[in-house]
Amino acid sequence: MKIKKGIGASPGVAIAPAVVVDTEEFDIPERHVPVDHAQAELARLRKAIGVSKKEILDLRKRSADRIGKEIASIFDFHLGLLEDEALVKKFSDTILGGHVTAEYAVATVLRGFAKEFQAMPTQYLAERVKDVYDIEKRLLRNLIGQRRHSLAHLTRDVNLLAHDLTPSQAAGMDREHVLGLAIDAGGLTSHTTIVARALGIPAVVGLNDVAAEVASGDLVIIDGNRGVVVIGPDPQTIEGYRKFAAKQVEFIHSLDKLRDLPAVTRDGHEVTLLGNVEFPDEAENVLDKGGSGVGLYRTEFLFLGSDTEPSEDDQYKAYRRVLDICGDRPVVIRTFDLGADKYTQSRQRTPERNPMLGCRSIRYCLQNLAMFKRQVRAILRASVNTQASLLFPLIASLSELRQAKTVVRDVIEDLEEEEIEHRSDIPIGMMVETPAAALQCDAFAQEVDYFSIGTNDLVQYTLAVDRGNEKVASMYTMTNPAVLRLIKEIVRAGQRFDIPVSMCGEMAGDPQYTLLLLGLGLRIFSCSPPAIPEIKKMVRSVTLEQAMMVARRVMSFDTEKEVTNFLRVETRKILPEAYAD
Amino acid sequence: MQLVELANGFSSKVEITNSSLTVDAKSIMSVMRLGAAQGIVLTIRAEGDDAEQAVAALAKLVEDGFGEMEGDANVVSLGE
Repeated sequence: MKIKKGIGASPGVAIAPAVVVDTEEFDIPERHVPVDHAQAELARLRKAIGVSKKEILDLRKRSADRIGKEIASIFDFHLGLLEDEALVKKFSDTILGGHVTAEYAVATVLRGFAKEFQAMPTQYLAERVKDVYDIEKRLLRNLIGQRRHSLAHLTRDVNLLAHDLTPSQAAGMDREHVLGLAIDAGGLTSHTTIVARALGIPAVVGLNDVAAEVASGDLVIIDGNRGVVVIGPDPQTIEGYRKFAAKQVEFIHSLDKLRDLPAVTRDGHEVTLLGNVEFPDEAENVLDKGGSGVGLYRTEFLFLGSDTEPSEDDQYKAYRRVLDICGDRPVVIRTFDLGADKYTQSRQRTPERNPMLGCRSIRYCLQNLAMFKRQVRAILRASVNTQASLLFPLIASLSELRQAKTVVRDVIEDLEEEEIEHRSDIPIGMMVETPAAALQCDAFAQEVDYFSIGTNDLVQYTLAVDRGNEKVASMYTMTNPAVLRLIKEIVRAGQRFDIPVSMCGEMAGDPQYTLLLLGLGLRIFSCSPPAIPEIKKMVRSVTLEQAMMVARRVMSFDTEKEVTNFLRVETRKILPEAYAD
Repeated sequence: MQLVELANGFSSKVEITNSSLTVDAKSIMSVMRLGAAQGIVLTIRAEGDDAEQAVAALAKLVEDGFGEMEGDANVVSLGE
């Protein structure tokens, strides 16, 4: 039995055999296969070579048509490599000799050659190294593609382990059979995590090298509450987790009866509980779980690992779908929060050195106005006769906000000129998720219709910690007093200027913070759909007076440790079932 | 890789040797490992029915400038 510690990204416990997936551009760990599987690996290799050859032939033909024969001839070299019998034999020997996967054989053999060529003084060969890597990538993609394909058609329950998943892999996985997720990379705010939480399956991230240590078929326990993965657990551990999992299921069912009850405190103060969604159909989940609308629609998921922008009409349809599901309930549509992803990075001439501080989110939109305008058009067209509102992410300065609002005005003018039906009085809000916006929230409050606090980025930028970086992830904490002070100020500014303030970050969906946030004056919570019942239970179990006392006490602490411990004790008194031990 | 293409046109087993390494002339990857640059001495060796033709053809290609590699290698031809 081996226990690996990561970060709990989505709560719950899953006990199942592992399926390990690899993705592109990742060091393939040595993955042994049983002796009798070697032939199957050879067959996979041959198939991948065949598919790759066909791809290259297509590519050569298309390039020849478009840019001429000379350029197209570089593909001859790629073809030559795939037809190189000595090379293919070397792959096969590696598979048969070491009983390893086809992926591992391809990666080690080709990387070995690439290294050798790199060391040679000849320019010609140094150039060819790129081609070798290119072929490696293509073969791996086709090999992994075969497996990825099978991921969507699992026949039994599994825990999925990977170095990282692309958002489309995460979204495309078989929801019936994937019980839990464990990822080497990534933080709590990565797309994979968001998808796991949306699907309500346990997930642990930031595990460093779990994908290399587990082989498909090993029994694995994923404990999303404690952020732990147990590899090859002993019977006693399995039994303990089984009991806990059963209790969890019972607790979740007990929350079902809250579905149609209002979210009010025991002393009659109303709270609005909304859901965060990534895909239009998820809005149904929100209502199912008793949420009263969508507090955050993450529209960038329309890109979902693709490298083309969704058309205005495709966007219109997606927005319309969410709005139709929600009827006359509120729906907050956030404009593209893109950045550091496949779409934007593939469009950079040089990769950004520090994408989280780079051209992402609203900055990217303001620098790509045509794209931004298409989105605003689609939103305004879709929101006729609805309770939709518009939300700008990552605003750091007033001039940015004003620019974004000018774009909306321009789009409205265009639509009027073209006599296209649209909503011209849509409320406009902004995410307060940079310390700059939080510190200047009085000024911002006079220029927007509402605030939405994004805790994930606010914590990251306030504490200067990248949660995806395993070395500093433990420093990322929402209970840091500096973060709490900023949140308090934002809520107060909303009260002073009489605009609604909601919170749509992860903090809003964690019952541990509900008392504190209520006490600080927050009345609108937006979280992933599975978290809604728990938050409702918290709200209905307390009085506002109680919450304010907790908040006062918390704000007197100087360290996150005191805050965390105090909140844990107070929350456990009210909701003991939410705790693992 | 003209040289490899050419070598694959013969049924004989064809090998190329530089000062330290002997490789299969029908494999791109292997030939590249020779790191053939100007002024290197290459030995071409073939074994089979069309060995002599193979060596002659390959030697001529190398002497002519090695296809795209623009090498200027000295060639020792050995038909067997």
